[in-house]
Order: sequence, then structure tokens, then C-alpha cells
Amino acid sequence: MTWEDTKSLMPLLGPFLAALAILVVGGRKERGPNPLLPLLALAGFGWTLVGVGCLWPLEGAHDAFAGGLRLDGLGLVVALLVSLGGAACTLLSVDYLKRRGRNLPEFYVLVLFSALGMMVMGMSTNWLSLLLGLETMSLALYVLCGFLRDETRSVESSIKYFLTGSFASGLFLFGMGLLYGGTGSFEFRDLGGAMLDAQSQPLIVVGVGFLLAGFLFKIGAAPLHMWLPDVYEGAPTPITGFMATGVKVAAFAAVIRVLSEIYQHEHVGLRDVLWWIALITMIVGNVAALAQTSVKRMLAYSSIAHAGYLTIALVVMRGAVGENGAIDFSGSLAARAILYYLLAYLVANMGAFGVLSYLEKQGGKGLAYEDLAGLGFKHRFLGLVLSVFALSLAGIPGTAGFVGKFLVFGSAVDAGVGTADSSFVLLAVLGILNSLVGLYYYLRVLIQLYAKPLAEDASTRGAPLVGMGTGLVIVASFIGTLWWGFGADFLNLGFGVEPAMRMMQGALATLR
Amino acid sequence: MGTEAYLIVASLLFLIGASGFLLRRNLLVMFMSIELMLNGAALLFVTFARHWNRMDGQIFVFFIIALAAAEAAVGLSILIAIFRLKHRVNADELSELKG
Repeated sequence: MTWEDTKSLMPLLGPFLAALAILVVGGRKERGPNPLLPLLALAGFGWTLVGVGCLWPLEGAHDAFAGGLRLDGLGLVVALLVSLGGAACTLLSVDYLKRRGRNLPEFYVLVLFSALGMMVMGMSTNWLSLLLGLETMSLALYVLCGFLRDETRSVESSIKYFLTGSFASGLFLFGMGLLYGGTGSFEFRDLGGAMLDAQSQPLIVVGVGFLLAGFLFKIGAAPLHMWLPDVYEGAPTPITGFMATGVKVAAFAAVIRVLSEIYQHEHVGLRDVLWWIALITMIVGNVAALAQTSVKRMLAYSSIAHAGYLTIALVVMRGAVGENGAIDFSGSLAARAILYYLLAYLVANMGAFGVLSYLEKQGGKGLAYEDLAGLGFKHRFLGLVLSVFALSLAGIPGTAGFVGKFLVFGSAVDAGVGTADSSFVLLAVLGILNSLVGLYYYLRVLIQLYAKPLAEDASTRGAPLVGMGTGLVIVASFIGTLWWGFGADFLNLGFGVEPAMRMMQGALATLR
Repeated sequence: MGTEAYLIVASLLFLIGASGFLLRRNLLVMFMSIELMLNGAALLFVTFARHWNRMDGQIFVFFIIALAAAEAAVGLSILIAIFRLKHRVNADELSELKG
């Protein structure tokens, strides 16, 4: 641990120091709500955002902790996305927890620590740092899910997440153990070479299988998605939004790092396995989402479907090995598409959960489709933004979600055209068909908002004004969804689609 | 004794843990099964550390132990929370969320 290490870890220090500060300031005897604490949490996330802004664009990469953490472009993008999600979650939580009477200091501490774990996951280059990041994130999220401890739903979601999540950690660890046995080291970079060795190959194959199961569990891919709808439905709504986005960002970044090593050797049948997983995940998520009556649960199933779309890009991504063994994925449209999709999903999803966290009543009620009836006329702005978020999640042109989906499906077609193997193009076609199915349940939200009369006994009557934090998140997500859809490019304003794409491209240039 | 014997024990520990998690319905027993899985993985690391003559595998085990301790702290408090609400610790009675 040297001064250089500390310098390259600057983005991580924000959430860490803010969490410690909240523990000190908030640990008084009278534990009332303290308006200073969310501000401290926001300062922590702001530190990371400023740090990312100062370090970008990054020349090469900085290794810290003897190479265990790697601060490169991908790490910075993860830090950026996670701190945006964390800040949005903090802002939503202030209003949400106040209404639930659970505005306690430890909530913000846990949000900060789980964000820290996500960032560590996105920067990890060996099994140890991956495990530490994963568990820091997961242990904090288990507690956050059960934070409303007087409500059975919240605690039930927490215990389900804890048990299934720890089971996945067990799979992860066993896989890491086998890979350690096969390679004799913890580094991701030793995976590829050991794969060619006939003696260690069985260990590696089984190890990668276990590891993949752990990853698929975390991103909620079928057939390891059973826990996800229950956990997402029962958890406090701002936390559901943060889980759906932050965990995906961290897990997909780590998967990109691991797969970029494995994909150096094309003979492995991993792409075929992922092909089927992508297909099953899309179908399971979309079909189950059709049958839901609660919007929150529908968004949980749609989160499974989005994991499926993202897995399509994992199947087709392909990188190049540069001089002195550097791995460069910046030429891969698919890898770029994953990061852009995650950005688009983050803004639309945090916004949608922001609206839901405002509409939610005591005991998790008020989130059925019927509760939205006629809301578009009563709360014109809320109706408008919720429609835009739903359209973005569905992938309608003009929104960020469309650009993300276009890139993902486009990269699959791009990888398949001109080769004898038609499976990539087929997967893209199946993906597009699936998003047509998805259109049905997203449009149902719009139908409820605008085509149904407002129920006279609507419990929305006399609802409080949207709090400042919630309002800020909703407006920011609304702007972001349109900004990265077409707005910024159309009006020729700053950081639009093109610059964001260039950032994602630069992020993938130095994976090793 | 060769590496194989240790590997078999480690895999057995892991398998017993995994099947215990999948078959038992008592939340506490499920939690204990997960601890068994973690111990199987830890034994795997120790075995391979010996096999490769390296120390880093042994150090990894300390992290696994710390992880198991942290999981016990969090898990048992969640279990207590659910017991306070339901007065049961049975997985089949967690049925508020479904659909």
C-alpha cells in the first residue's frame, strides 16, 4: 500500500469516508432524523463523481493493492454509474423513510457501503478483490432489504435474499477454489493460458461453471432468477431501484473482465451456454411480467428480461489482444452496448422506481395497475414522466432505452452477418420479438394512466406533494432518458449519445 | 495422502451443504448448510495451496472465515427479525410475496 495506491483509489474513498462520517455523526443517543446525514452521503457520491471527472480520460490504467484492484476506464464507468444510482437512491430514501418513520443513520451507511462494494467489484482483477467487493455489496443489501423491519414483506424479502444470496456466494467460492486449483493463482489473467493445458482443463471448466452460476444468480438470469421477484417486491422501493441497477452494473463489469480472458480461446463452448441462457432469461422475464398485477413486481420481472438482453451482448462480444498481452475490447460494439444499455437502464429505472416510491402507501400497497388509473390527468407531470420511463424500458425510439436496445441487437446482427453461423442473428431476432412482448406490459402502464377514468375513491386524493429529493431524481432521470435518447444530439448539446459512446469505448481499451 | 483425498472431502462437504440447503425447510438449518458449503470451499483453497506450494490460498481462507462470520452476524439478525414477526423459522411459511 503506497501513496500511489491511495491516489488511484480516490474515487473509492468518497463513499468510504462518508460512511465513516455518518457513523460518527449519527451515532448519538437520541436517534432522530438528522438532515445532515443524507447530505453527507450525497457528498460521498459527489466526491466519486468529481474524482471520475478529474481522472477521465485515463491514460492506461493504475493498479493498486499489488494488482488486486485496477483503476481503468471500465472501473471509472462503473464508479460513475454506481454513484449516480447511489445518489438517486439516497435522495429517494429521504422522503420514503420519513413517510415510513424509519429515517435512521445506518440506512445511508449501508447504501454507501454497498455502493463501495459495487465499485470494488467493477475494478477487481483477482478472485480475492472480486469476493470482497461482492460480499461488501451483498451483505449491505441483505440488511437494506429488511430495513422496514416491522413489515413482514420487507423482512421476508431480506431473508429470501440472504439465503439465496449466500448460497450463490457458496457457488462462487467453490468455483474460485477450483479455478485456483487449475491455475495456481488468483489472477483472472491466468485463466486463458491454463485453459489450454489438458491437465488443468477439467478443473477450469467446472470452476467456470460454478462461477458463472454465481454471476447469473447476481444478475437474475434464468434459471437462477427465482429469488428476484420476491426480493424486489418486498424491499423498500428506493433500494429495489438501486439493486436492479447497481448490482447489474457491478456484476456485468466483473463478467466482462472475466469473459475477456476466457474469450481469448475461442474453442470453449461458453458462448453456446450463454446463448441459451440469454434466450431463456428473456422469455421467462417477459412472459412472467405479462401476468403481474403489481407494477413493482412487473418491473422486477422486466429486470430479468433486461438481464437477458444484456446477456445477448455478452454472447457476441469479441476483443483483440494488443502488444504485450493487453486486452482491448474497445473495437467490440457489443461490449460498448452493454455499458450504454446499463446507463440507459439506470436512468429509466431509477426514475420509474422514484415515481413508485412516491405512490407507495403503507404496507407496500398502492402499486397495482388499477392504482394508476387516471393518474395521468390528476398528476400531469408524474403521468408524463412515468410514461417516458416505461417507453424507455420498452425501447421506443427517442428514449435512451431505444439506443441501448438498438446497440445490443445491432451488435448481435453485426457479429453474425457474413459468417456461416446464423445463431447470432437468430438470437437478435428472438430478442426483438421478446421486446415486442415486453411492449404489452409497459403500454399497460400508459393505458392505466391515460385511458382509464380516475377512481373516485382513489386513495391518491390528498396525497402529499412530491418531496424535494424524489422530485429531483424524477426530473434528472426524465432529462437523462431523453438526453441520451436523442435530445442532446438533436440540439447539438454537450454530453449526448456520441460522447457517451466514445466514453464507453475508451473504457474498454485497457481491460488488461 | 494425496491431493485427491482432500478434494473428495471438500467436494463432499460442499455437496452435503448444497443438498441440505435445497432439501431442508428450517431457515436455521438452511443457514448452517450454507456455512458447510463455505467450509468445503475453504478446504479446497487449503488443499490447492499445499498442492501448488503457495501461501496465498491459505490467506484466502482467512477471508472466507471472516466472510462466514459477517454472514452469521447479518443472517442471524435477519432470522431474529423474521422470528419476531412470525414466531416461526420455516421457509414454507414465507408466502407473503408471490405471483
